[in-house]
Amino acid sequence: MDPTIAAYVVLLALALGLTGALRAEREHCGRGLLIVTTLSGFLVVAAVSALLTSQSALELVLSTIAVFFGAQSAATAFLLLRQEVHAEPADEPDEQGLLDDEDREQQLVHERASKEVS
Amino acid sequence: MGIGLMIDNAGWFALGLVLITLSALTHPGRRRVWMWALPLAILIVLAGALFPGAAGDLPGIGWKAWLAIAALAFGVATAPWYRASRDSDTRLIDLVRGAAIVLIGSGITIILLGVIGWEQTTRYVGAWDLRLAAVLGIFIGVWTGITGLIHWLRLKGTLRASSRGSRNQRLAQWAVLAIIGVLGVIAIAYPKVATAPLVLLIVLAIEWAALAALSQPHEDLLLIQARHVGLVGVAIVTLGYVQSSLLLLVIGGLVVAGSIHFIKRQGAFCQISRRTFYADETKDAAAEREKEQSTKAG
Repeated sequence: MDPTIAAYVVLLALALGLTGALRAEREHCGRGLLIVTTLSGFLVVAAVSALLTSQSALELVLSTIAVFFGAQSAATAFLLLRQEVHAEPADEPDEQGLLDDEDREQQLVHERASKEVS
Repeated sequence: MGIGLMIDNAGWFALGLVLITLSALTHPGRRRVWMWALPLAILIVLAGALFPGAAGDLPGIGWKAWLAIAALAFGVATAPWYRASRDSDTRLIDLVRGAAIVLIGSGITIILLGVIGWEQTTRYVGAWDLRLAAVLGIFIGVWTGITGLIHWLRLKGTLRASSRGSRNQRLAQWAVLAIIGVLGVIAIAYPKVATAPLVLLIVLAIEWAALAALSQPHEDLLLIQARHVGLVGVAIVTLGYVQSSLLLLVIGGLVVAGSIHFIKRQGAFCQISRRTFYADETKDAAAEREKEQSTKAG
């Protein structure tokens, strides 16, 4: 692979992650770490591709062990993330839900007003 | 069709899914169901790489694909199970222990992939960039795996934390790191005589990582693990370069970014009941407290 293209792609992804996609308020920051830990489960993809392209018996054995441990760590990371997401306090108001309620109320008021006029 | 291209073909869909999930999971009001999209993305890519082999389209790969599926199933089955419930009270030590298990597994995977990459690239003297990736992978893998292992043993109470080393000890650690770097350069430049430097590099890296992990203070463990998650991201980038897969490059970059975010801002976790770190959760901390008390009394 061309090193220039590789460096470009990595820098773009880094910039994306640093500016927007992984920024969350302080309460969610720990969740961000667990999200990227789960993302690092993509390591298992590299291990699988090494297994599929293995040329010798040694490479086959090593890559099979790599797939095993990669899958284990990926599953562990996801289970940790699941625990964290479920542990979130429920008392935070759902912003979209509040907006929807407001819309519905206004609609009711509007309908009532139009009925009274008729 | 190369394996990198096969990964990238399915990777388009996976990457789209990952980006949508990232924006959903970091937004406060979204549903938590979105987290299932992350393993789904990994499964999509795995299916994209495994399906042509398992379906018999590529000669000679079929049984390898089934072997990979079996190894995946075993790996997932041996993962420790964490219950997801708002009522259960998790402690920081459980989280650190889980992260240590993740680091051990990732470290072993990275070491093995680095060794395989080394096996494949020593045949060509000109491929120094691939050898650089392999040596970097081996070093990161050893560092991450040993750190995870030492953290795990410390949390189990098997190992005691050592006190922070003196200035001379720290200088010696830096010297060992420099030697590791020199050995790596030798191995990359002269692949014909690389076996001895490489073995010595691994041994020194084990010593270096173990000493460093033993002297880390208890309250910093999670931050250090976050740093190692970033290192795993770097390893994913090098693997993406070796296997010429753009998807792995992007994912590695995202992982590094997330780890930087966490280290800079020291996020809080919801699953941990809010109280001071490590009141008296391990033998380490208890021993330290006793020592303090005895010095006070004395």
